[in-house]
Amino acid sequence: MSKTVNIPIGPVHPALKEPVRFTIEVEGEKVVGADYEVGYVHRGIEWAGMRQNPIKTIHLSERICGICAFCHPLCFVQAIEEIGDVEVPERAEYIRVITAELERIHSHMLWAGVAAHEIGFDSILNLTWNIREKVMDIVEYITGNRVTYGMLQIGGVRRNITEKQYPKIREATQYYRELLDKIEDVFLRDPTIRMRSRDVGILTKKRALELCAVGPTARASGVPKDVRQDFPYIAYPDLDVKAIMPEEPIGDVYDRIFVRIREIGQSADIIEQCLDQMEPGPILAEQNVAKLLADLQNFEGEAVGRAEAPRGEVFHYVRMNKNEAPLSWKARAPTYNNVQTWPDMIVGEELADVPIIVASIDPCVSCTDRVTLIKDGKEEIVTGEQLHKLSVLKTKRVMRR
Amino acid sequence: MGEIGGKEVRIEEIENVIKEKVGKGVITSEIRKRKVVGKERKSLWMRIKKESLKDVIKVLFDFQYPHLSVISGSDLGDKVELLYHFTLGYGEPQKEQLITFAVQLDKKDLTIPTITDLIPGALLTEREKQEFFGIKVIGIPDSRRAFLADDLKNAHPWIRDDKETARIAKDVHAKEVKK
Amino acid sequence: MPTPAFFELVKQILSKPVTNLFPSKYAPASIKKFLKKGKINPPIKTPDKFRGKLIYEKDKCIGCGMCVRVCPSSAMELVGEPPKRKIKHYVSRCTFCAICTEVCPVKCLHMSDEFLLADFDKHSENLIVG
Repeated sequence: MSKTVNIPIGPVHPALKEPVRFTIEVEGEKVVGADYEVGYVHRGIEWAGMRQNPIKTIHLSERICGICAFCHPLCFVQAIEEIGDVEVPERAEYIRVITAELERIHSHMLWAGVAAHEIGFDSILNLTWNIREKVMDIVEYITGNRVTYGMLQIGGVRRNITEKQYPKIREATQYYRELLDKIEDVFLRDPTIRMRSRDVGILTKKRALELCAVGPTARASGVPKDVRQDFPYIAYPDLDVKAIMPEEPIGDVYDRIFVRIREIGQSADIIEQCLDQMEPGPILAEQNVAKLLADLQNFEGEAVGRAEAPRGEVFHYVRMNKNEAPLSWKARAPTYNNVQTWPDMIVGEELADVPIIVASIDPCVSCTDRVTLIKDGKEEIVTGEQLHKLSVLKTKRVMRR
Repeated sequence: MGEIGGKEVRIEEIENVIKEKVGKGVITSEIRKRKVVGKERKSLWMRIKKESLKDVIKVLFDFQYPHLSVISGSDLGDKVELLYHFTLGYGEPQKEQLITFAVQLDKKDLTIPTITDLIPGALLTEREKQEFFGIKVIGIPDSRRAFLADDLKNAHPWIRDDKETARIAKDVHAKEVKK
Repeated sequence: MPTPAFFELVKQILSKPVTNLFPSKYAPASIKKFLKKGKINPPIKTPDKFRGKLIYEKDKCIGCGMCVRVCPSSAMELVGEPPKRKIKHYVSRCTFCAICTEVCPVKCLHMSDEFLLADFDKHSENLIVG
């Protein structure tokens, strides 16, 4: 006798790419089959990008995602620069690295709060999001805005980081280094979180390779894929970056928490190294935007741009043929690859563990949809609230043991 | 230079091995260079025939399990070109190589064999190409629609002069009126 | 239960809230009465070079149309006949990216630090510039 359960998946994310619809078959409390459906928020961004000039498309690609909003224009701009053989000044590359690492810190802190919320600790959600305010203040100080920075231009960056701004940035990285111990205490050494996340949602190394998983999802399973280390772009060839993996990776939720928390400390170190190594110089290859527009009409060729977002590898392909608008543009976000690992991770687990497993790959999706459960052939819709309550009740049960 | 799986391989060597084993299937082959903060980075771009696609991918398995980034494409008027982007050599610092295979399909015969028996992770991206270009992928295990809505059954957005897509896009903009 | 998280919670109960109470501490029962009283907590000060509402100096504009070509959301349109063409900017469509300020050859566009721009009507007086 098979019962169907509707599970709404939807951690609270401010930036939504697409709602996801799950169909889960359960027997009692155990999941025996899972299927997902994406595509609810398909906005036709690539279609629009193939019909307007690249300067407009930089700002359009920023709005693909709000949390990883720097990596998409970074890949696009790298591809256009390779087509036109534009030489980017060195100071601009270092400023790009600093902004990208600041974005990584804010994204991982946001995810840590969401993971705690799914387990049932709302107070830790407020604590981590308060800690995150420090990096949002620094980002507003440097770029002028908290999300969607508007820093990039073809051939460099639009704003400089002056010497007067260095002390404030160093103060923020120092703050995060000191707090790292406290964050690790709360997440990695707490017995309740360990009981809820150890041996839950396992993705084996073989399946991670076959499904081409990227980012912390792959690194937690033992596959050392990191674009900053393997295929360095912007200023990373001069810096020292190693992919972070747990010592004996199992591939469960606990390992993914471990990888992300350690990456916060690594980002703070990279920012300090950049501030020490930056030399004064120009920040744009071509200052006059009108001349840049005229040059873009003569570009011809195709190129690829890759970057490491907080969630994994971002990949853009651009092809131009002597026209202002590109002939084709393909933007691929990291969740595109990671979404295929959901059925592997969910089958065999308990129903109340599904929210934390789904949130552990850090999906960049809008979570408003409901999951339909199939129970004896009848369809029952369960809201996100009910699923979240199931997860919180399990934590209370676990704590009493 | 690339050290993959214990053996030392350069990108020129990968190119030579592919040309040796597949031979007639390769139409053109090119190594492109790009300078990144003073250091040089190379990538391989090959154009191959449709029938030898799977043989070429099997050659990559000799080095390491390849990572398929995405399948992209462009509309060239009377042909559709599909590009398969692979990377080899992850795990070793600064030694990953980017390899791209381009396959051209005539618009009167838009079919291509699937590669999900070699790499299961290619399923979602092949489903997407089916609905965006109107291609039929032979042997795909799951051919449901991936991204577009159900009332867009006859629309192929990436074909440049597709009439159905133009009709829907025009409706959307007609509703917004600026005074 | 004495876990590390527990000590954090105790510290949180005993400390002051960090939220800036703009415009008031609690949501008022009647907004009109609240506005009549006139006491509103101020928002946090914006940083330098903040990108707010656009300022347009009509006399300097030469009607070249470059800002219309680069605006990502088509928020500008040209009005009038050459040689006296001017622009009209719709704030409800603006993305506050400031590309138009960089491309203008006579520098007649600037960004102010005004951000309280909510309104009922998309095309009202204070949401159209020029």
